[in-house]
Amino acid sequence: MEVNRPQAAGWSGRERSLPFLKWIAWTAGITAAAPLLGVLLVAFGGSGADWRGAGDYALSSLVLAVSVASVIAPIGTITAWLVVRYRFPGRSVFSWALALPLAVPVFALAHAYADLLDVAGPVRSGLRASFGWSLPFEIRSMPGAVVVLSSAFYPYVFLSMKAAFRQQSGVTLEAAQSLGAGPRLALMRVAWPLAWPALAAGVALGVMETLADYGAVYFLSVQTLTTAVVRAWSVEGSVSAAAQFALPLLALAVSLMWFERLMRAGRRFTASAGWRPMPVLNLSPLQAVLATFFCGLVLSVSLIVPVGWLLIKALGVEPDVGRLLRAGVTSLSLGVSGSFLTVVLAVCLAIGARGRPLLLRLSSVGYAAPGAVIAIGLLAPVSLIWRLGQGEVQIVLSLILLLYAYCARLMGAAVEPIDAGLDRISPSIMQASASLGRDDARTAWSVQLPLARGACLASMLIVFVDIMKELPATLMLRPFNFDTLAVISSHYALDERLGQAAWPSLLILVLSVPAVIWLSSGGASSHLKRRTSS
Amino acid sequence: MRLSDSGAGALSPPLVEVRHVSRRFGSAVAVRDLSLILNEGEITCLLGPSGCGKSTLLRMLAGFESIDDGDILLQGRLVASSNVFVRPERRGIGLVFQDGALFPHMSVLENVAFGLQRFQKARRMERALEALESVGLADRAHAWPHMLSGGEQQRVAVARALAPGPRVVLLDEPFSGLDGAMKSEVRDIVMMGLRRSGAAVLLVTHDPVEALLVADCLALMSDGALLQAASPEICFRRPVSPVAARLLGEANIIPARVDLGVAHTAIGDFPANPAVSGEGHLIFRPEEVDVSPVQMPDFLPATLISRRFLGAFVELRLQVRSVEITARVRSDTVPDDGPIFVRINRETSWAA
Repeated sequence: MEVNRPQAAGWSGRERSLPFLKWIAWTAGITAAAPLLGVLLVAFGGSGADWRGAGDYALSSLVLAVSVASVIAPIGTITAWLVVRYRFPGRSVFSWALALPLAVPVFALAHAYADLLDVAGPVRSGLRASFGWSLPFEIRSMPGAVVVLSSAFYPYVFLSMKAAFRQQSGVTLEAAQSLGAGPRLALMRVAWPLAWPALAAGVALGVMETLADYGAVYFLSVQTLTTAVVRAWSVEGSVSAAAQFALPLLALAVSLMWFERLMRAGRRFTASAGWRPMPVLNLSPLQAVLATFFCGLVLSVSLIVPVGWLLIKALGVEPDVGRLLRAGVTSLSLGVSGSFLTVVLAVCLAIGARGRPLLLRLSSVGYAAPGAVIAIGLLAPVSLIWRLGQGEVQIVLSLILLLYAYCARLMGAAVEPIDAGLDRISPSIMQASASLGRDDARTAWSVQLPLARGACLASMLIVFVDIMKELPATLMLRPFNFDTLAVISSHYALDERLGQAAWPSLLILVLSVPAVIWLSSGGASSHLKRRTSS
Repeated sequence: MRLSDSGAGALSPPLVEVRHVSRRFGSAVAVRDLSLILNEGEITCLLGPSGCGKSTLLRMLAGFESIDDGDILLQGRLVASSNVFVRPERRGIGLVFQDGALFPHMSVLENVAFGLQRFQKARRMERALEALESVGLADRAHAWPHMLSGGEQQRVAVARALAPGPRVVLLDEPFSGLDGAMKSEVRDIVMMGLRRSGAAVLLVTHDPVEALLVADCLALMSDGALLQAASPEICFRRPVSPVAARLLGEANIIPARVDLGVAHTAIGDFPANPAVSGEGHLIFRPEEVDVSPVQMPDFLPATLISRRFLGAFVELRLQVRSVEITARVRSDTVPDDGPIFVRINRETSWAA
């Protein structure tokens, strides 16, 4: 009834969930969270790490995260606002192309920019030769890392803000304007506060990815907590030290998630009955050119220039086709099986955990934790397997563990869209199913799952793209000589063979681009809309 | 339907028996100590303003809300109490929602066949078609929900609820999303289908006209409590309280002192509920005031305060002695000016 009811839609009362779904959800949730529990066990069980330098690592992680956040927030917001609200040349292309950097592995951007802006690189030599001017900017530095990571991660803000602005009703803005607010005031007072939760979500994702990055910062010689985790394990051979370096990262990850939830709490605005899209406005010719220029600049810096340079470098060398193909097949099969596995678990989790947000949060912590940290949590079982020898059984087992690591790392990303998709199913539909004699499990199978199909596909694609780009967990957990595209790209790059490194990076791009385009052009949401609108 | 206390002596157990049920949400009481009986083949309308707890009651019957105190019995079997809870899918109650709640990924026929799992496929489709026929939509069996109008969706929702042959059907404001002419057409079709099913029907509504129109029994609810449960006629003519009276439309409510079945008021004496004594109210509808331009026996002089033209009727606000009353009369019975005399119909006025 209309009195305030603590359990919102009323379907998910505590006495109403069959043990079956609940158990499945708990199993999936604990599965996803187990590697992180492993990290805690190892960290508190092992001997003390060498904490010298830990403060510096933490500081540079923090500086990096804050700088990236303050770059991607305005860039993502402005580009999203431009493509949703205004008509200018190239708008329809920009509205999906601005998300494309998501298909580029961030280490590939680092490779490209490091080479382009190297002392002997084309930009510097060109400037020196033409103007006798030396560029006062060192790419292998903190500012360089900020530029590279921001280029890679602003699309999280862009996509999230674009969706938020699209959902806003033109009626709301008109109401603001009828009350005397000019376009700028309407933006500041209405559109902006309404989109605030989306901004928090997008920035949080970008910052999580920043903290999790290993390949790019390592290549750019910036020492962060994540590189410290990998180094403690690979150089010093101490799993417990690695786990201890992972602790502040985990704490940061959890507080980021908490922050993001806090921003969103109680801010789920629903469109009112009179919803109508925001009108698209015309710009003056000068403004339109400026808008095109700005979006073009962002796209050039984040995609066209680095990918173009990689292409040039790649075409300059003879690729090792055999190795590339093997790695490509490996990446593809890991991506497909990993995303399938993750989404199956995510579906169990999302359906079984309806009305139990804690379980969802718990299983999503992995997404805020770097792949290196997840890997640390799984090193104990992995090293056990390796100690048994290098037979086929061991390889299969360690591949299963690798898939498991992807799963644990990306569960949060997978659960989110599915949960949102399930949210869109009105409670009365579920109640109708129950009143017609179907219990929770059969309702899940015959009603929830078919209605959330689009969301499941979206989540599968997100996970697929992330697995294609994943580096640190793969590096740490893979069986000997088991190369993915990301691994060989990183190896080539560390050998200063950029042309060879570019080939696998470009291959990752090619394999991920269709998924990113589908996701950014709203494939999932339009699918859902068609199905549920009536 | 009767209050459960008075129905305790019935021969066969009623289909639904709600006994002293309460439900609280935090400190807010949604339903308090409510008792109600639903009988086979009877249509009961639960009428009350938004927020009065009527939907909560329906959800408790259906099994989507637990109860804090009291019992709910279905065909004599306890399905809900403070420590018993039978899950909704085991209650076999048909349910129709305000928004229809059709499954958007299934055709109309699949929707209606959804609750017929226990039948063989051929029999299932046959029964689903029969149910669709009963709401006049057999020809839309293969359409998708989004291709139907709002009224058609609601008819499918009713067919879906009726298809498994439930003994009890609950409807939560099923017509409130429809407008004008379509509303009454859909309502007629749906109510006919419900009557034919012989189920005990509980229809929740906040529209008094609808409630009076379709109910065999009317249950008036306010602020979580059941005020009155009786035939529409009784509820309308013999309201138990001013609040109950207002739920069914506008009413004049005048303070009265009630004594031995007589209500003494500033405008005369009237018959009263013999159970009431002491301070009470005289209640009568604006239609039950006779107005005349000339003095006649039993008529009292009145002063016109204001006048509203409603087409066929005029609504007059009148001062009669020390009280103000509203009268609704045919436009042509009152001249624009001149003296006015009024008489309150003693048969239809009632003190409570």
